[in-house]
Amino acid sequence: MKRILLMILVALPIVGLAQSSTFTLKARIAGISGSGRVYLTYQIPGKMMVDSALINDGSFKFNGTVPYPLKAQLWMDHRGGGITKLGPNPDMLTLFLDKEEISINATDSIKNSIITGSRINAEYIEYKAFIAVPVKEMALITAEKAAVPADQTNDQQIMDDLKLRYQKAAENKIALQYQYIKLNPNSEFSLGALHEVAGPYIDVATIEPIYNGLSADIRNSMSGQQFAKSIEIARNTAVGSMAPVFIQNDVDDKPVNLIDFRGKYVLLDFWASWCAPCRAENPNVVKTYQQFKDKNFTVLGVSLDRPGKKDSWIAAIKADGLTWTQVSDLKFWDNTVVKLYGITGIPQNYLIDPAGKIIGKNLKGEELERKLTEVLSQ
Amino acid sequence: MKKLLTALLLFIVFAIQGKAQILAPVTWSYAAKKTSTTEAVIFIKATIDDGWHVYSQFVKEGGPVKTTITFAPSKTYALIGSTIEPKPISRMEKVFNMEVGFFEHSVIFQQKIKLSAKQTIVKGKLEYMTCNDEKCLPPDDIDFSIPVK
Repeated sequence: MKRILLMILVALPIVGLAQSSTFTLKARIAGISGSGRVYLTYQIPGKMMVDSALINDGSFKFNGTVPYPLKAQLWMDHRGGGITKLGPNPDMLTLFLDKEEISINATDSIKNSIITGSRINAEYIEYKAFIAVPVKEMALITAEKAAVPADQTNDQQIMDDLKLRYQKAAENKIALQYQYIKLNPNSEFSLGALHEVAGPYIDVATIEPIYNGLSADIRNSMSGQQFAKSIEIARNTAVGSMAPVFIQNDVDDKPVNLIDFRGKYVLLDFWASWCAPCRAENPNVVKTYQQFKDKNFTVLGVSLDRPGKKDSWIAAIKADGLTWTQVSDLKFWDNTVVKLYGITGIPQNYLIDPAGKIIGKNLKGEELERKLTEVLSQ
Repeated sequence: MKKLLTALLLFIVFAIQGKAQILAPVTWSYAAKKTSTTEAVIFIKATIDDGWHVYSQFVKEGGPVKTTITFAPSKTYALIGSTIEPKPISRMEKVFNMEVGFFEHSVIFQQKIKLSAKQTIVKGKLEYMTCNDEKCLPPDDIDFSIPVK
């Protein structure tokens, strides 16, 4: 027992503590007289942190420890009503905490302050500016979409047009993110951006070389190592590898084995009744299934529905007309197949060939039809 | 000894599992305010990036994953009523064939409590899901422990 404890104590600094950093945040708000309070909020793994400080003659200071560089919010309480009375448009600044000392200077509001002395915060401002144009465009289109009158939401022309414009802006954002990563190999936000562009379906061939191009500091950071682990999992489910096999129960609690699908093209489709983007994609999967089901193709649905929610799962299968085999262990994101495939976002799918090899992944919309037409005509 | 060992093990598991994605779209914070000597309000706030949604606590069965805030029972406080939230944005979601309430940018949930001690720590757990128009991300289950003084 004592030996185990000793081993853990020895291992402890390696797994976490060694990487935590102490931050100091000092601020000077020139135009503030009298007293007031300011709040600093952030999240460490599994826990919310709220700290507050008194403003003394326009100055305040925070100290603390963070396990890795992370996002925080600084809230200024101008009226002295407390953090709960900041109103709908609070004076708030998003910033990042790490081991460097942060100096904040402002004239009256924290929103418009200047942060100095901290590399990570300078990088954040740079990163945000770098991708600002498409980000703004995407927000505008989202607002426009929300403002479409109810009687026009069925107008395919209007909706398609909005969708197309959004996709274009999103593609533009991704292109800029790749560019940022290339220009800033030593930035935390390059890793953050890579995380975003890689998405839940890391394409190892594209992403790994970019990851390897990041600085050693970034790669060896906690989030850098986590990302390396995600790449490893993705490698097992990369196009060209054998699809990891599993057994999971169908809606009638009968075990279904992926290996029994050998000899057919099968689309392994991850979804859930509660996932709006998945449900929006379902009509397309149905269409593809109808088109190719007599040509040695089928679909196997894996649902991330929740414990005790079998009814919702079955209702969604019925509502969306999903007539192919469906499995789930009703364990939400802890579904064993989800873990096996390292899935971190849905919808997600894999196209598996008759030999059990993955030949495509994340095939949405017309891509799926195109890919199937291509392989089935061979 | 055994307790210490368990605590250490838990700590390690925690340190490894914590998702360190610097650009996570939703961050949570909390606050507490005493409204009298025997009552207080707990505030739990989500700050949400553009384009992402956090769902109402009152989403009906068959819709997206609602936000659920669970308070641990305690001898030092009791809940008064249920957790309230501002009026959500409500949209007819064709995929669910129902009205779905959600929040964007930010939301504050509030819980009134009755205090039977001068000070206490309100503990509990937060479950939520965040989606944008393209995908849903795995939620962080978040424990909170909020001092009320």
